[in-house]
Amino acid sequence: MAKESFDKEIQFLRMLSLTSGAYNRKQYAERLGISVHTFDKTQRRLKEIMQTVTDQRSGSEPNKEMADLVRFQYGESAEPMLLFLFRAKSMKETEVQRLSVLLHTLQDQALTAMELLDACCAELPEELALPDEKTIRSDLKYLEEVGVIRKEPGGRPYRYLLQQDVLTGLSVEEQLELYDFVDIMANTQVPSVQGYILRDSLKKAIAASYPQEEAIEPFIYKYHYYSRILDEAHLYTLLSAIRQRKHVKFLYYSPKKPSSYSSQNTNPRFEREAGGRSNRIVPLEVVYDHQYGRWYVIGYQGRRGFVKFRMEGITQLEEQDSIEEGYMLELKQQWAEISRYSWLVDTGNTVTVQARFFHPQDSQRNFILDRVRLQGQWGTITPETEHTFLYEIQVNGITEIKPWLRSFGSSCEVIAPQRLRQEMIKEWKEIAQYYESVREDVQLPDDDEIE
Amino acid sequence: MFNYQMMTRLNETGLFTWTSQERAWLRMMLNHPAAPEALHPDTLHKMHDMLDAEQDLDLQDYLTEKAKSEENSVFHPLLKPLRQMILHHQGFRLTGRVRNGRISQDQFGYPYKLEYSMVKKEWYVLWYAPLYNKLMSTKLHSIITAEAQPLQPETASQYAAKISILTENRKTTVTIEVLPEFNQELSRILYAFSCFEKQVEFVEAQQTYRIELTIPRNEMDYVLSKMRFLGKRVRIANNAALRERMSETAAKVLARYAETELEAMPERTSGGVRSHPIEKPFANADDSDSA
Repeated sequence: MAKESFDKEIQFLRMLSLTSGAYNRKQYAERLGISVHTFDKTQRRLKEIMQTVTDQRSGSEPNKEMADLVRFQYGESAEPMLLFLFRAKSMKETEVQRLSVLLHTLQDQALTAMELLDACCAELPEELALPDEKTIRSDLKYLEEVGVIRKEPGGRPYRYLLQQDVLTGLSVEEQLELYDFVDIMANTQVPSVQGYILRDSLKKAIAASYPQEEAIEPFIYKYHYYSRILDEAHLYTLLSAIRQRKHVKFLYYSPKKPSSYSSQNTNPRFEREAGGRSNRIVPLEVVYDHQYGRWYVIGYQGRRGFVKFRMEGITQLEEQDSIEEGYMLELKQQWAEISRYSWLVDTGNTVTVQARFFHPQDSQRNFILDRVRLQGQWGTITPETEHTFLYEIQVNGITEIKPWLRSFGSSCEVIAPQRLRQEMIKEWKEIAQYYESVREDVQLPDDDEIE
Repeated sequence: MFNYQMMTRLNETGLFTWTSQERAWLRMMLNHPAAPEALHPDTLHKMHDMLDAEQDLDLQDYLTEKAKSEENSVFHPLLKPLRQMILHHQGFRLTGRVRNGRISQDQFGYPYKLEYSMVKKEWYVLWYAPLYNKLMSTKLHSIITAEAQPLQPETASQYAAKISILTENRKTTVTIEVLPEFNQELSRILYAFSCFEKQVEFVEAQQTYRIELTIPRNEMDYVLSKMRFLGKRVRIANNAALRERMSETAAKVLARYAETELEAMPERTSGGVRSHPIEKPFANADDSDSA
């Protein structure tokens, strides 16, 4: 079976969905580090996959640009458009035909490998070469490995049956109930790709009993970073490497660099700016950052010590040799200690941040306090005056907490450390400058005049 | 399963397949506190039985979530009945607590979506109020009762048509410019805006990115909070009202700091209570949350 690797497709789709419309073909290709020809080819392929997948749901428009197809449409649907990437696994046409005959044959009864071979021979179109026993056995092994079929208890010759108890074991109402549950969990929890895929199959299952559109799209999710699901393609490989204590190797493209991928092309024209940097690490932990919707992998890399990589920059991920258990455990403990006070993944010096928050005026509900409670992680809240409360937290470095504090605008005043306070004042002065022209009726105190 | 052509073929005959990864995921989710609330005890029991033999993912040992809003509950008991009303195109009579502590009695409405805010971790029902021809959004937590109300199919489809017109009318655009010196951080900035409908434009001559967001008008405060979150990297390019608000915020913040600096001086020990007006709250000020 073809190895599952979507490196190019992931980078491609991420760029399209994040920067939708910004570049022309040539600019996209350049930034992706591929030729315009490869760009077009990839685009055609993805469009085809997407149309095949979506056509069954709704009549998709064939002439739409790829960027429009992957664009996030809030409120229309909770359908994660980028999910189709996970259907992009390439398979030979003959494999597709054979596997689907096998599964269809197993739909109603448990059968042995030999019986399945007969069925395959009978059902496959004549122009195809007939499969032999070995091929059927390896197909069955694959299907068993991914868990779609299982062996019936009992001895040889084994009889195989389809794993579809979730349909046969549940009533129509229960299927709908399960569909709702899966929809909610896939959309509110991480990881979610497996849930989205399950939701997809369940949707088809319930469609027979509930044909109306309201049956499948009753929920929508606000402020959802749906591009996060692209990076989940690496997640399971990484999690399994951590679980099995394996080194991993990958090529990393820093998201700060303009190019994000480069083909393993033999054409020297495209080789020059490969840009990616090869890394081999002991993977220790995966971190999901809810603030931006990004994934990180944390690892240990010899002389460089603990390292953090953003999942979006990882390509050509490979599992390698094993790591000794004690060593890995020790590293994990060290990392747990170091990252204890990381707002996200910063491992800078631990400082105590203190901020004063101001209650909203003329409002019954204290939404500022609610928000600090909801998002303030391990910080503590102490009432101060009738109008204010204090928030205190120990964090590693001030960079990662700063945007959050700043997002409160004038409802938050940083008190300590002094450096953060000064940075805050400086930034707000700069921001004020951006909007100078509209500021005429706002009088600033003298000492706040522009430096 | 993993291949689109394969999936198409299986779908043609309504064949249901699921892999062990999907089952392991579901098993993990069934251990979430939301499961017993969301599923009937019988369904839950059946599912547990079915998935008992599956792999246990134990993700908590490898996967850490950071900067997450505290999650009280991902399920709400009213989801089920409201979902049924939406499914069957019914109206409802709603009694609930409104913001100032009053009870709003027996309002007639037509529910059309259930919306979850990833930021506030709250469920809302979106509904249409024919009496005022307005779209409403009500937190499930503030609903006391919601009683189903049968509707004629024609009425329901009239309401649905109104809803789509009103939704469209509510949309507005905001253009945000990334300051070219922060182009290196483009990825981070675009991730932060990826929860909005948007279109990006790149002006090559100036190396400037302009992000045009299309949002419902009542989400302005959330956009502003995102702008404050990203700070000096971005600026609102086109919307006078929002520019005004940003300017006002900056002025208020600076005044805030100036005031405490003054207070800190020994000769000026006037009372600690601030008399500065807070930024004027918009109608939906409590939606001004940040992710």
